[in-house]
Amino acid sequence: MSNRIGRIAIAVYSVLVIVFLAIPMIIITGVSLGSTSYATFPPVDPSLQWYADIAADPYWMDSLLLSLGVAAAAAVIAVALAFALSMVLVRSKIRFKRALYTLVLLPLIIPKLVTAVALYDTYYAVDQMMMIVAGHAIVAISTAVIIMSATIRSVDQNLERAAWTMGASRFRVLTKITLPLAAPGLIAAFILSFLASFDEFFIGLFFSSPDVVTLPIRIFTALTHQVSPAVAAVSTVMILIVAIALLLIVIFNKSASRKGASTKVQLPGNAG
Amino acid sequence: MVSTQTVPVEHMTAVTVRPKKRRLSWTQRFSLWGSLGYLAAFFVIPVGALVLNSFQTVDGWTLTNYAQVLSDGYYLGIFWETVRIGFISTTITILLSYPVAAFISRLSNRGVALVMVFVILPYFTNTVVRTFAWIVILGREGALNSFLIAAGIIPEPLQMLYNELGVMVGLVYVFLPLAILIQFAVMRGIDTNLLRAAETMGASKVRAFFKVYLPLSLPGTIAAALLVFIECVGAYITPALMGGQGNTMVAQIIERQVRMGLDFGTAAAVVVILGVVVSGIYVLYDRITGMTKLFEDNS
Repeated sequence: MSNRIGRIAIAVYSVLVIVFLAIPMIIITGVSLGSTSYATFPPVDPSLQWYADIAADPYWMDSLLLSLGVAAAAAVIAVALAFALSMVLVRSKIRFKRALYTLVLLPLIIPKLVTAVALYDTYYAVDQMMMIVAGHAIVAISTAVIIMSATIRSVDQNLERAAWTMGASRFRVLTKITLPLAAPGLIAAFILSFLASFDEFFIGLFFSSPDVVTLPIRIFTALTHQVSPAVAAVSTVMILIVAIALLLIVIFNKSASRKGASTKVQLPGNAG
Repeated sequence: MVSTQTVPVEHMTAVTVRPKKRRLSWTQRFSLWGSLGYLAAFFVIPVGALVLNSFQTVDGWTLTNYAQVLSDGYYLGIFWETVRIGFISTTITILLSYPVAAFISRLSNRGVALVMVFVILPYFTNTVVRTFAWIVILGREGALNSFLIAAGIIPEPLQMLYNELGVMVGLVYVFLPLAILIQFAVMRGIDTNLLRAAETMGASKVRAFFKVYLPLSLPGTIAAALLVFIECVGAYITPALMGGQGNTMVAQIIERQVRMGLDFGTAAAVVVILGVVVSGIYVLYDRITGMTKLFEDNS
C-alpha cells in the first residue's frame, strides 16, 4: 500500500517539475499573441499583431536573418572540419590521439565567455561578421566531432576497400561510398552545430557592432530596456526554429534506421 | 601486424587485412593540419595569448594581476557570491531533477519520447529567451503576482525579481533540463531486476533504494551536479537580467572590464581563474563519466 503511495507521489512530483519546465514556454507564446503594448499574461484580445510588427521591423529582421546565416555558415565550417579531423583520428594510428580529442572537446568544456574574451582580445580589429562566424564554428566543433567520429567508426571500411580494389579512385570512394554512408551523421552534426551557433551568446556580445547584432544579443539588449511583447514574438520564433531543427533530426534518424544505418545521435551538453 | 614481406602477392593483403599505416596519406595530412590550423588560429592561440596577457602589465612579466585580484575584497566578494549562488542553485537543481529523471527512466519508449519533448525543447532554447519568460512571470506586475493578488493570497505584489531569489529561480530553470538528461542516461541503464532481487531477499523498499538504486545512479547525479555547477559559475545572462546590484557574478565583472577596455590584465587574470576552476571540476567529471573515452576505439 505504502509502495503505491510512494510511486504516485513520485509521479505527481515529476509531472509538477515537467509543468514547471513547460510553463515559461507557454507563457512566452501567450504573451506574443497579445494585442496590448505591454507584456501581459494571459493575453488580452489575442492576435498576430506583434508578429506582423517584427516582420516589418528591420531592427528584428536583420538580426534574425544574421543569426540564421551565421548558424548555417558556422555549421558548414564545423562539420567540414569535424569530418576531416575525424577521418584521420578514427582511421589512422597517429600519436597524441587522446590529446587531440581533448583539445577538440575544450571549446565545449571551458566557459564560452572565456573563448569569447580570448577571441576578442586577439581579433578585436578584425571584421566583426567574419569573427562571429569563425567563433561560432569553434563553439560548434566539439559536438560535430563527437558525432562525426562515432559516425565514421560505424562506416564499414570493407565497403570502401571493395570499391577501391574494383578500381574506384580515392575521390570516387569518398563521394560514392563514405559520404553516403555517413550522411545521417553528417546531417545530425550539421543540425546540432547549427543549433549550437544559433544558441551562442558571448561571441556576439563582444563582436556585435551597430550594424551586426546577433539575435540573442538583440533580445538581451531589448530586455535591459523594457519588456515588450515584440520580444515574446521573436522568442516564439526562436523556439519554433529550434523545434523544427530537432524534428528534422528525429525524422532523419528514423529514415536512416529504416535504411539500416546504425548511427545513433546523442545529445551532448551545450547549455550556457 | 601482418608482415607484407612474407606475402609475395601484394594486392592480396590489400583486400583482406590491409594493416593500418603509420604514415599518413597526403589527403589525411591535409585534413589533419587544416583542421588543427583552424583550431590553432581561432582557439589555441587566442586562449594562449589571453593566459600570457594575465601575466603581463605595462612593466612586463609579473604576477601583479593575480595579486591584485586575489587581495581585492571586491573581487573576493564576487567570487564567494558566485560560488555560493552556484552551490545553492546546483543543490536545488539536483533535488528537483533526481526523482524526475528516475521517473522518466522507468517509462516505456513512447512515454520517454513524449515527456522528453518538455525537457529537450527548453534545453535547446536560448537562455535569453528562457530568462525572459521568468521576467514576465516574476515581475512586479507579472503573471504570478497578478494571480496571487487576484486569488486574495497577498495584498500587494512581492519582490521576486532583481534579487537573489530571482537569480536562483532563473539558474535552476535554465539548468534543470541538463541535469535531467544526464541522470536519465545513467538511470535508464540500471537493471531494475536488481531492486526486485533485493526485495525478494527481504530488503524493504527504502533499504533496496539506498543499497541498490542510489549507488548505481550516483555517478550520473554527481556528473550532473558538477556540470550544472560549472554552468552556474560561468553564468552571465541570468544574473544580468534577473539579479540586483548585490548579486553580481564573476562573468558580469569580466564582461564589464573587457568592454570598458580598462586594465585588461586583471580581467584576463579573472578569466584564467574561472577557466582553471572550471577545468579542474571538469577533470573530476571526466574521471566519473569518462567523457573523453567516448572516442576510444572499441575494436
